[in-house]
Amino acid sequence: MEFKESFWAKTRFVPNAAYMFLMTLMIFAIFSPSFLSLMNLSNIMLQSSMITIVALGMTIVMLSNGIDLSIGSVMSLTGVVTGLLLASGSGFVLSILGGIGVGVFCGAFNGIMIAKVGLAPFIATFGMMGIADGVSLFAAGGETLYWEETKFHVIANGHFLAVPMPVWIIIGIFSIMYFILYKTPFGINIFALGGNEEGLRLSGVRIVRNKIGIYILSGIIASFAGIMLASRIASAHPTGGFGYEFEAIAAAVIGGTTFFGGRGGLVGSVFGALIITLIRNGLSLLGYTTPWQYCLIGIILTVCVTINTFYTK
Amino acid sequence: MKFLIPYSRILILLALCALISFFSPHFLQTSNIINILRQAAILNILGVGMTIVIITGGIDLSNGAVLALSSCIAAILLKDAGLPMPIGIIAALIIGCCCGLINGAMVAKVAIPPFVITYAMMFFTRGLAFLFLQGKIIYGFTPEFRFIGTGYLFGVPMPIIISAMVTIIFIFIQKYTPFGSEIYAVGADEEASMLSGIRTKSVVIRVYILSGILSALAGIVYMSRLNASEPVIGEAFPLDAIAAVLIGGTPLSGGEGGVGGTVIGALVITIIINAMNLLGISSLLQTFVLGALIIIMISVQSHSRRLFSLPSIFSANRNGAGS
Amino acid sequence: MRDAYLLRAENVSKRFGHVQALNNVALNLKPNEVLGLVGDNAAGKSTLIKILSGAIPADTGQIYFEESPVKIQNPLAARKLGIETIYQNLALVGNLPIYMNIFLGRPRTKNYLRGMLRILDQKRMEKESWEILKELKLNFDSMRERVSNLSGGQRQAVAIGRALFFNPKIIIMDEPTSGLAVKEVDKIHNIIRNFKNKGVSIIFITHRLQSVFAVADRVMVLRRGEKTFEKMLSETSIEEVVREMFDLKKRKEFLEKL
Repeated sequence: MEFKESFWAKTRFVPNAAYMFLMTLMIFAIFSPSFLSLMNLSNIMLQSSMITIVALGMTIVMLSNGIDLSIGSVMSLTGVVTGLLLASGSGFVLSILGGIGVGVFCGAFNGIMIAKVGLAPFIATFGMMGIADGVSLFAAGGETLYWEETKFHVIANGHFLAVPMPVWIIIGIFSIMYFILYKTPFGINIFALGGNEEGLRLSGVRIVRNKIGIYILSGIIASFAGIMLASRIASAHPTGGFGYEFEAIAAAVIGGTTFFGGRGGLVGSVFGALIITLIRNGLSLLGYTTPWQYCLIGIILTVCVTINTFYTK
Repeated sequence: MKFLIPYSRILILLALCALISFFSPHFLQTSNIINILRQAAILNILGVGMTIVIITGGIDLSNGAVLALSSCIAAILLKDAGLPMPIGIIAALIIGCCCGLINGAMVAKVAIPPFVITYAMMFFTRGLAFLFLQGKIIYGFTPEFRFIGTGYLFGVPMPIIISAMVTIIFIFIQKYTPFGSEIYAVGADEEASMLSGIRTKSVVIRVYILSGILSALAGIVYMSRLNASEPVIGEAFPLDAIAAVLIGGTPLSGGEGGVGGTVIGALVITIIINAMNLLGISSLLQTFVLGALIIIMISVQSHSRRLFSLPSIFSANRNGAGS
Repeated sequence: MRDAYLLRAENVSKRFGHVQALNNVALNLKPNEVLGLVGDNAAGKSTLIKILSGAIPADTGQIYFEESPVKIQNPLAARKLGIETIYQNLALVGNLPIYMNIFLGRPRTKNYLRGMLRILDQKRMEKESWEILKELKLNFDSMRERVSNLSGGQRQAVAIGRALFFNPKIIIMDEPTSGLAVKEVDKIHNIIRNFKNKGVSIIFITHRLQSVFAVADRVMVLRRGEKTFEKMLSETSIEEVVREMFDLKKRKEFLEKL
């Protein structure tokens, strides 16, 4: 039996984004030698951790031909809920569980709106974005929350075997997502929903169940990101996650995943997140401020998508 | 090609007003109504541009940023360089046109998904706005210029007049001109349109150019009203404009709907925000209420008619119908 | 004394908005029989088989499988009864490989943790897909090829392989020969004959009357949502079927009257 253009091989194939990442790295290194220092590189890894996490979740949703605009707001809400629990002395474990519960709940709500009520994903998650924002602001009383529990800060700031915790968390989430996508029937359904939803339905698969599952998964990942954010800055701000959904989309798109579903992969999104962080980091080091970063990200996004589009033609 | 006469939507709007006035007598006062119309004006102008883009099956996330950039450049030209008003306005419109041209060309020729390119454009133009303004705020324009945003014509505030004119022009375009029907055709079935001889790429590019120009126009009105210009303005506008379009009955899948509906959508959003302010609902809750209401309104709409669907982020699930 | 029917549908009606797609239609299928379902466009043929395959629900009607009443509420229920359907758009997922499409909706898994954790058994699916397609005498290079890279005939083959794999009692085919070259059409005819030899019953919709007369035992005509004609093929002719499909008899009389 022969092996030709294997489906798996194509996605294990090194994505364009990896090459773009290396190229960007080289370009910045030319301008500023200190860019390649170990400290800076590990800084970049750390800074990219949040975007990477949300990008992984967004990739899965996009593969199924959906979108989740509520990721940023769910992040904020998770931070607020976790913060409230921590401040009230509920302890490390319970607070984290509470935070994840937020993700499950919001994701389930999104999934039900989309799969059962039949709303377009754009609209449903857009509405959830507003709802979650509102609830965050209300619950936090419009202020930033602080707490005394210190074990919590280990999540974002600690180390294990000399590797920062966030990196471990990313490795963990990536492995789980990879496993789900490529080794379970649920993963196949995700790809199939992006490729031919009607075909999947005609094959007897319960579409509603699977779609709800996808958005719950996205919600859980968003809440992980929210917990990490709260841990990193040791506080919870009701709009802390603002804008992350768009970063996630940018990272996924740079990585090769498109809205037509079914293509691209998790690896690409990781590189996409790294590229975005790289640009921000590199430009700051070189003394260029946020506006330049904005411009450059816009250009890079366009360039990457163009390359990806031509590659797949 | 339909001029969407949203009778049902107008009725809902009126019912909404009646309900609100029950809770707050100030609501129906003339001054408040004029206030609402004026606030809705800018959202409406943006909404019109967004409507035609969405009808072709696309989307424009960059309108807020283009608004910011064009108003910043106009501000620099008017205030720092002291150039006369028409030059500032024309410059702004040209910027909007160029941004729209890039968006449209990328979508039409390079086949980049609209979401992505307008999102990238959003970053790019916002960055440019910051760079040009160097972190300052420019304020204090000439009285002639301020008239655009704050003046009255026959007793009606200028923004309302401008917004009304834009709406009327575009309703005319969508209903009576070949270009209008081409917009619907491209949105409904691009391949069939192309095979019928419609220059689909040209239609798409023009639609984004118009959206860009309208964003710039909205920017001028906005900065004239505020009497200031800064790079951060307009961040919420793309999503608000999309919401107005959707509530107005134009589905994200394109091919149907219309500008008339968007007017209602813009009014609904503005009224709800206005009402929440009048009723003293804290701004914390306002986001929540708005989000929930949008979901409810659109669910009701999508259940009361059958949407054509391609599984995509932009359209809802199919509800049967085969042969 | 009539033979027991494998599948019997009575009184089937379906309405879409203003359109009465099916009106009181009855369909009977004997074991090991090939039934050709024909009719003009929008006669209701696709609607009827979608109801039989569980893709859409009927408004009224009762279905009997092996003489016991059943409810076919969704595609899974149809499959469980042993009814497999090959749709006109083939219901294949283009971005997945062949073997995954063969097993779409029913993947082979290794189960751990008492069934809580199901892991795809890709090797097994590849092997079994290869075997079933070989049996159909269809050649592919690799089971891992993306379906979107295949030709129309090859995709048809994958869809057939999928339908055949789970040993169905009934195979329903919606326009199996549309878009195929002449050589491939012959292949389809042979495949249908093969199925019949294996004891499977087949219902197929087609516009190609030659196909009906090549492989079918019985033909049924739908016109504007109603069944107007049903005969064993040995007792009728192409001309008669065409007349029934387009209601030419009435028109002929009408024209003669003028």
